[in-house]
Amino acid sequence: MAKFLIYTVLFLCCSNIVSKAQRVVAVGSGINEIVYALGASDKLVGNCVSSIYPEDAKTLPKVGYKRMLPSEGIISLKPDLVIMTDEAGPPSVVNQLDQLKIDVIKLSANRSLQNIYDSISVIAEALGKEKESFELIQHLSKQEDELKLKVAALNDQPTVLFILGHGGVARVAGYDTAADSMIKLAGGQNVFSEFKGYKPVSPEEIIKMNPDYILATNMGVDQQGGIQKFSQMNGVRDTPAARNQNILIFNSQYLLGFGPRTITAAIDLNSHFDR
Amino acid sequence: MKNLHLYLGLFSSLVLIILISLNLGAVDANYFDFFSSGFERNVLINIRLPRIILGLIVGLSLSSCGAAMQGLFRNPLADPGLMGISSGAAFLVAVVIVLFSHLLDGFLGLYILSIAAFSGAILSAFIITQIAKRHNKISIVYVLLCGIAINAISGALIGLLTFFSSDDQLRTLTLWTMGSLSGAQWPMVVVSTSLILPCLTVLIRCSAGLNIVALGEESAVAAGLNYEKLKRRIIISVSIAIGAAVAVSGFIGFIGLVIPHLLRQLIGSDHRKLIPCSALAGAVLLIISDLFARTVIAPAEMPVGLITATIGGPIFLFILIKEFRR
Repeated sequence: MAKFLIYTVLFLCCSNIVSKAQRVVAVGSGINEIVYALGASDKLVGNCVSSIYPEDAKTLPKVGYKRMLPSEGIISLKPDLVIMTDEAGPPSVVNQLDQLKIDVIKLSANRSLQNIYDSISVIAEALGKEKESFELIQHLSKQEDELKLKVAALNDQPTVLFILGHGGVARVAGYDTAADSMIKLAGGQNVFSEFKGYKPVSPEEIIKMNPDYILATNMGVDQQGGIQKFSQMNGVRDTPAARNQNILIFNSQYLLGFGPRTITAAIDLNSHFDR
Repeated sequence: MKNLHLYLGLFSSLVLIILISLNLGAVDANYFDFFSSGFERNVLINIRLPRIILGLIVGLSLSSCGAAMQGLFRNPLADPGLMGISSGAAFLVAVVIVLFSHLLDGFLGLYILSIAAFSGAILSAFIITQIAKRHNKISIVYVLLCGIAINAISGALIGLLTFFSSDDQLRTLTLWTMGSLSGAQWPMVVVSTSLILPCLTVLIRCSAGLNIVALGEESAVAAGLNYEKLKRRIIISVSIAIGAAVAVSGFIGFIGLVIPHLLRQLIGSDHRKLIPCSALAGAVLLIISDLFARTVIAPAEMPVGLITATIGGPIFLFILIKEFRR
């Protein structure tokens, strides 16, 4: 009887493993991080150029940029599952993967905590990591409770300006951006809420907004010539944020990636706010 | 017969490069796999082959149109981009990406950008010829000037659209303009071939006329050439062929400019030779460039437009310097 049970359990385990994906390509930094957080990185055979966390992820074969996926490149990794967000493209390449009977999971690219939880569950199910996903989600929701307490403890919502310094002209974040979501998560208030996306604005506009804090990414600040130059930019120089040296610089993927580290990043950002 | 050698040479290098291309790629598959039944065969037939054929067709179109435009405008700088055709295409693509982005999802998403690009190309060619027409005669100078104006207007409107676009839309648009043959599928190949090949035939049949035009407009008319008909046929064929090429591959620059220019140095400016030879050489160059694009950083890929521009730019400069110093 005991033998029978053992065999049955073994059989169930095996059949379970067989039906789950074994060779996975993760497209998108958030998805890649989730796979790592679930301890399923041994199943990864490739990821995209923006998958640079954790350090190990850098060594995997890269299938390029998520919007410009190569069909033959992906197929050459012989995956049985490709996980991507609905931002991935071009559509013809995704269509070709379908035609070659390679499973594709498309997750929402929505930047909300709920979407992170949902993505974790879906990925975990596909990879047979239900137990790990349960632990991860539990851990994250504990962190979320902690974040909520910290946000509630703020005296008032600090006003925050996010500057995206990447590529020449500096632009600021309006609503419907990862930066906007992060500022709100951390209990702040985005000073530019009347337009959508990242837009260039005049220095006068920045001064008028009078932000308590200025938020930026390390990459953006580097491209503007370092923190010294960044804080002396027209407009930035004359804000309360620059006067009180409240310019906060974060790693761009940590801050804007929307993956398993997002709540930690929000707590981190929140801890810089004056109370 | 000297010409036969020329065509045979170009044609066999085309066949050779197709065979080499078919054998190389991120997936380890070669043409012996045609006879297998595995996944390699699938890759060859449904991914690599349509892509190579698409490169062939687009290459044929870009460089033969370049040669015909240079002949018609009697200007070595003329290329389809100058006439505003491709910027008209880019404008409609930008409109779809920014204002109708919901159309990009689902089944329609596969083809909507191609449809937009093709309509944009035809529309701008139509507008230009309507403006440049007086007493039922098309003025070549005005076609050129209107083309430049359309270029400027489309550029400004695209700039305006990008200002209102989200980051995602901006990136989609930028990648589209870089040009790529990635994701080529048989339906696209069939549609673009059936548009481009007839146009190519028309251009080749116009080539004797272009030789007379090279002597000057007055002499052409004096020689009994129906100049108006020739202009109309070339402009219509070029618009359709370039529209179809841009629709399936985005912007692939420099091939239409460099190949005819280079060939004129090598074989002279007889359009009866120049147009078909340009077509073949353009196809060879585009297939080689795409081979680089898809293998150099495999499993990732580069946009082929970047490669043709990086090869084509310096070659063009070199030809110019050589020509000038002669």
